[in-house]
Amino acid sequence: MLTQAPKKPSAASPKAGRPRHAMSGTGGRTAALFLTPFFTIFALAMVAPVIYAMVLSFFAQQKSGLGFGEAKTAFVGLENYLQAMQSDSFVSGIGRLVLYCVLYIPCMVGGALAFALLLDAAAARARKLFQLMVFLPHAVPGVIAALIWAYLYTPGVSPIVSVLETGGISLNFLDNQMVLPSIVNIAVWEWTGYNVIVLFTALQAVPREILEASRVDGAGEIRAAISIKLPLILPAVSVIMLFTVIGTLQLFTEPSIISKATASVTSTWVPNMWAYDAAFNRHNLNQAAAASIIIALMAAVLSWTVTRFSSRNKA
Amino acid sequence: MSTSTMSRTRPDAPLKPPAKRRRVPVGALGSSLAVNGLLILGCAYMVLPVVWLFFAATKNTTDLYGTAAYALGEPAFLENVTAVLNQDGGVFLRWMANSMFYAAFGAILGGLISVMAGYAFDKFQFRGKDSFFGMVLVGVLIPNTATVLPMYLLASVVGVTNTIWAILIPVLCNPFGVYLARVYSASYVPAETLEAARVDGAGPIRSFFSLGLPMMLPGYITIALFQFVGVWNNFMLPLVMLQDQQLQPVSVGLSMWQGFSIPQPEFTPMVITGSLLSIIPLLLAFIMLQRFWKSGLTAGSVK
Amino acid sequence: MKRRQLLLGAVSLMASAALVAGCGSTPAATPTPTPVEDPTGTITFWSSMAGMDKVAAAFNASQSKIKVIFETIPNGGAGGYAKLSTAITAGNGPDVATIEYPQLPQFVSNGQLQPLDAFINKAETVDKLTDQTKALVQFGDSTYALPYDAAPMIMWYRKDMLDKAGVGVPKTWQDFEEAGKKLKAVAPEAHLASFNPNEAALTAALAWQAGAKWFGTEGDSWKVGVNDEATEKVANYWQKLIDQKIVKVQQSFSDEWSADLASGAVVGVLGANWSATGIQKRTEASGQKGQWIAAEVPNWGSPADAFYGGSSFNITKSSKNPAAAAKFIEFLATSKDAISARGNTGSAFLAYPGLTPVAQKTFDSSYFGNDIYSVFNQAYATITPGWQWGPNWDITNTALKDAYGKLTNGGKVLEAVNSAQGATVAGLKQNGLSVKE
Repeated sequence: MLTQAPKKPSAASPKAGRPRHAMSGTGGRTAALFLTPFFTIFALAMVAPVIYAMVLSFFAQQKSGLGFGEAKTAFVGLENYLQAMQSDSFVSGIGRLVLYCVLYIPCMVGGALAFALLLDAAAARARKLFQLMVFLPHAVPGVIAALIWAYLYTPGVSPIVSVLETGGISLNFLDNQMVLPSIVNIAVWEWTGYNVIVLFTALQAVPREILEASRVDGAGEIRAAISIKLPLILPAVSVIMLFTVIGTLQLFTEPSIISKATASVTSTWVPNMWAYDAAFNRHNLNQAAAASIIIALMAAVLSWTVTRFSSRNKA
Repeated sequence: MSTSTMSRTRPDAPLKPPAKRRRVPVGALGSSLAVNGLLILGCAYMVLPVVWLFFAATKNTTDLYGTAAYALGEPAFLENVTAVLNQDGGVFLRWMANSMFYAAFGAILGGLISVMAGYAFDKFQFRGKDSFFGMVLVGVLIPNTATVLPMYLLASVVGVTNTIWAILIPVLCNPFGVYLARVYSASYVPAETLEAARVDGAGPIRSFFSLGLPMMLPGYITIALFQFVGVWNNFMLPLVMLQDQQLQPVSVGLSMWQGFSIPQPEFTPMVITGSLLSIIPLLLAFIMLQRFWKSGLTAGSVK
Repeated sequence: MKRRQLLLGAVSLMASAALVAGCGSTPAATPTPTPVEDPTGTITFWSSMAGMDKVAAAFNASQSKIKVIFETIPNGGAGGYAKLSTAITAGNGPDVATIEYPQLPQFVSNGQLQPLDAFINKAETVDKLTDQTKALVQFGDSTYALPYDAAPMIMWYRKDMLDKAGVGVPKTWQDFEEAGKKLKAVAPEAHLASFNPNEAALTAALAWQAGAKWFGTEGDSWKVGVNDEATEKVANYWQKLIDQKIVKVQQSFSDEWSADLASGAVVGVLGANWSATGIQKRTEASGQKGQWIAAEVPNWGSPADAFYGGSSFNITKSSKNPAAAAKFIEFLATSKDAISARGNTGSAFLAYPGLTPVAQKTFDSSYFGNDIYSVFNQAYATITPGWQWGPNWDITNTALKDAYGKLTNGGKVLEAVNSAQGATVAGLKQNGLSVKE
């Protein structure tokens, strides 16, 4: 609960540095004023829904006999969670996310790093143009990106497929084996540019003196990049990785669009789609609630782990 | 996360340029070619799909499947645009308007709410501040989509599904914006200025609106811009909450047309042309507001 | 201490709210409806079928008491049923909706539809339907829909490719396999048909044709046999065709399928009467006019067929004006004007007697190489009786489609069918239904 911090007499207002005591009028009551709008929305849009979902997840709708009668609400404890975890499609969806991460993170982070380093080495004039072009995909919403790539993967419409065909390679981007890398590609296309800008800006912070010194010592560009620039921008890289890993759990939009173009992407391909399917196709809101809680828990565990891991590394 | 080498300067102020321009070493003409060549390849990968969209939007259904991708078919661009704008009584324009409205609402009002909260976290002291900020951080780390279904479940019990409130309330929630705002507040608004205002008799609210917010304006614009794009891009929330076509944003509308195109292939050119039309506002916003983008990305990553 | 009590209080409040909400979502007992002599009002109509806007307009033009507002929704595969169901549950569904036969029992069992009996003229509508069609829309003692089409499964072939392979129109499934092999010999890149992993209802139709009974009732229980003997036979047969590359595994209505039809990589379509327009649209640009013919589906020895697809019209629970809705449904399902108003949007084959000739006249079938409607009539006469749809088609549909996703990766049709059986039984039991295998 917010309470007012003790007020120090205004005569002792500090000159330099951050004030260690509360200035009058900057204590709890004013803070409450400024924070209430946000925390009200936060409570409505995050806290209340999660609590409600948790409650819902412990109940289920039960019918009997032929099922043409009324359904009863019954308390079922952890039954919904068990059903989700025992469901082949839910579990394989999670496995798919793991595989997705394994493919996506190195590609995207590696690609962004390489790009940023190249940009750093490029002629300044061209840089602005390159930056704009590399960032362009980020201006394209996920739905549109998925739509574009869905067509780019479709034989008969896609220039890529036809070019490959004339070269003698017959690739089906949308069959069972290729569809996951194909979706990874869409995400790489969408997000690399964003992270290039982040990393590039971090690179600008690398003190020039160190680079000069290394060049005097005879290190080539590549060596300088690996031994000097890379370690110094590691904090930025870890932040990117954290947000990317968490973002992976969000996967919904791209598979939803691609699922309309191929049978390889089922309606329960990733956990979010499974939860959506439970709610809207199978009309089992309780199971959908349980699935959402599981996903939120996974996010919590993951972010905790990644944060621990990166702070331990830096300590 | 440890602090980086970047000091707490204004996030968008350019670093002092190096004393002398970094000279490209002799004999590096080849490597500069390699660097630029690789960059060109990379940029081609980024840009060509959008270029494809331009070409594809000029084709009608038969040409899409018939002609080569980067060739122009019988120019059907105007036809396609007319079809898009006329379908279902001009619902496409309605979708664009909806997207604009939801995104602008979230950006302007949500941005303000986040900035106020971030400012408070930075400038005020109060009991439990750390725990509250911890809640904000938890909010940042929870994936968007994990809360969409719970929000829907709650909304359907309360009865607000299929209304604009089902979208307008969630889009105001931007924990990352609060986090960014705290950073910006610390960087842009010196405590001394506020203290001077307080000595002059200004209350905290007055100082915020007449001093704090104006000083933080670039930060506010950045937060608003991020929020705008986030809301514009949002797919699962409106998909789940809204059934009425008239309320849907353009992302959901186009995916619905994609569904239609399966039994009725005439919809395919409309999906493509509609996609092209829908990304133009964002593209323009990006090009014009590059500066704010870069600053936001920096501030977010550095701390 | 105080905080904990507050928290507990809040949680119990939410819990009771959930309970109340849960109870509230169960369908209340409907009061006995009173027939209205002359209904008036404005009603809404949702459908994904092409041309329905014109039918609604024709109805509005033909009388001034009832006004119909029409809205297009995505088709079932693209989330149309999810949208409809969600809207009905939230209370803002349309008055009249279109639901296909496999999904109908699910909507009925969820209490989302109103029975029609009190509002329609049974003698003029329901009583004139065949028993099989009636069985598709009647549950318990009530009629929940008026059927629109009765869609017999039909095989479509490129006659020129059959000629090229030196085969006649296959009569049995054995003939079909032979024809496929001969086609491969003269045109190695061509396939005689596609196997559509996104069309679980097609598998059902093929099983139905072979005499399978996936769903039935025994007293107060459901009997589920998605992998019964007849279905096993069908599954193994199609696996043979897939393995020999006589059929191509690809999604129907996908861009790939469209491209293959245009290029001749696929020269046959296992569909129904309504496939005609789709085939025409996808192949007319490549000069295939006059080469496509309709034929009865190959059989297992004696002529038999099944329904594949077909929609019905219903009054949803959201409707506040069921009498007006019923009048409109009668128009939709039994009026000749409704059929002609729809225009040339499909080669419909209708359940209500006397309507099909009207549809035939409206449809321009000049693209095809034979009299497709006479084929439809012949096929319709051989529909295998006794088929029933289960209480939750979604479970089976999803399970089959998911399992079919593995077909290009070494999965087998029989495995898919078996796993669909398991998923269906488990899913129904999870909902509390009584199930026997």
